[in-house]
Amino acid sequence: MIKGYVLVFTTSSAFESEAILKDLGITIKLVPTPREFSSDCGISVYFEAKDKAELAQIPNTLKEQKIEFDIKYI
Amino acid sequence: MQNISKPIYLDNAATTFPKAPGVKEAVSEFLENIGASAGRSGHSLSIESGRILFQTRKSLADLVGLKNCKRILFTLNATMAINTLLQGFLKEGDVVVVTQMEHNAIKRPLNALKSRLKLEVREIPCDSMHTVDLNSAKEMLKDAKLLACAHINNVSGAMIPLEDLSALAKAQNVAFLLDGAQSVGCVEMKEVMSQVDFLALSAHKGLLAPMGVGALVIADDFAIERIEPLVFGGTGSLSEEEIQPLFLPDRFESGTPNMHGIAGLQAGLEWIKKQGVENIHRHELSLREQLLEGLSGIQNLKIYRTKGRSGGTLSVDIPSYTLSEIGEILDNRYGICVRVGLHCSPSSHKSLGSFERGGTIRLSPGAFTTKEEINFTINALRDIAEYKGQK
Repeated sequence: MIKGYVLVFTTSSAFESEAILKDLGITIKLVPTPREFSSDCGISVYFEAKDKAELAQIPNTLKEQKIEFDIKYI
Repeated sequence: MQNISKPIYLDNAATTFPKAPGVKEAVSEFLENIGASAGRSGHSLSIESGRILFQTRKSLADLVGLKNCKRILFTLNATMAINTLLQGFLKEGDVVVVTQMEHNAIKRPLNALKSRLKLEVREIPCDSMHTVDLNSAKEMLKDAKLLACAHINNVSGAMIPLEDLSALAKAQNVAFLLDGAQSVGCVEMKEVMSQVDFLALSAHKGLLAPMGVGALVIADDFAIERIEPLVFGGTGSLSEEEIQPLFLPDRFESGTPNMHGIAGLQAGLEWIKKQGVENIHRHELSLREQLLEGLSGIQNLKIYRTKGRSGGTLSVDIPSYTLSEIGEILDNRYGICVRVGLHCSPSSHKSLGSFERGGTIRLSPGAFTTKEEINFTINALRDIAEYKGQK
């Protein structure tokens, strides 16, 4: 299991990312951005990817949708 | 005349009533169980509020054929959307083209900007049937920066030839602002964002949702940095900075949005999607046809006919009465709610020929108006008009 956060710059992007990643079937949850991560938006997308293949879908799909983001692993 | 148990509402061009099924419940659900500000906090209620905001943006984008829903910029109403664009896009010395039948939502901000920015405002002639002169339009668009006009006229119901005007504007590289206050939700507009650069809309009219929500829609390919925001302030993003964010929608959406209104808008959009916009348009057109047929031939009653495509609105007059008398009789004696007068659109009345008279009786059926109600209205107007001068 690979866990982490997708950090985005706007709340609109957070909700857009939530909708996109939910469609991919990845376990996700919108959460307040942890203090240790720098983010311009108060909300981030917490994710749990089953394996590397599922993890790879996250940046690939968000890039396709032209969403600016950063990923932090925990 | 039959007795009526509730008022017949024919003032849908001002605001639609009733609202779509589910709207009242969505507003109530938001106020009772969500309540939080969208995009301002990380707690569960704020997140739920933000989800509603995002979903509504997406639903609106789908309705008008926009790919990037962040280019839906929420405002208070269509007027504020128009002001945002005119005040943020026009620069000193620009040439703006409008038609001769624009609502004050376009005329007043343009007139206010005219002297401040030394604008040149050109008016495309329209005839008394509200037909736009396309040959003049072609000439007038030369060297212009913006074409701004209403899709459906709020007095006569006439629809502008959108495809033709769009082609003329594109050919001369003129940006196009469409005021969709009377058309969004009433007319199929899946292609509109490929025909215009900006669309102003209101939630409380064709979208059958509460008052206090509108939107300015910016086309997917329009360079957003060409427009300055009208309102600056807190956005819930980049809080450490004291300058406005550049990204969308935050650049144009400062302050807390009307979230219970937006929750209602989402419900309205869902209902409209289920019904199909074309079916709603067909219904409203059939009621207009019924009015035209039923009112034709009534002595002393004048119909302001239009040419070409239209929405459901129709203007009439009974010159032997004052307009306010007719409005009052229709309301008090028959329970029919209409708007008489100039409808915030003196230009429309000047081109129709009804300005000197002080306006018209505007009959604007909506998605929930029935054939029986229209029939009752036709009979009421016949009674009034044929009362042989006695009042």
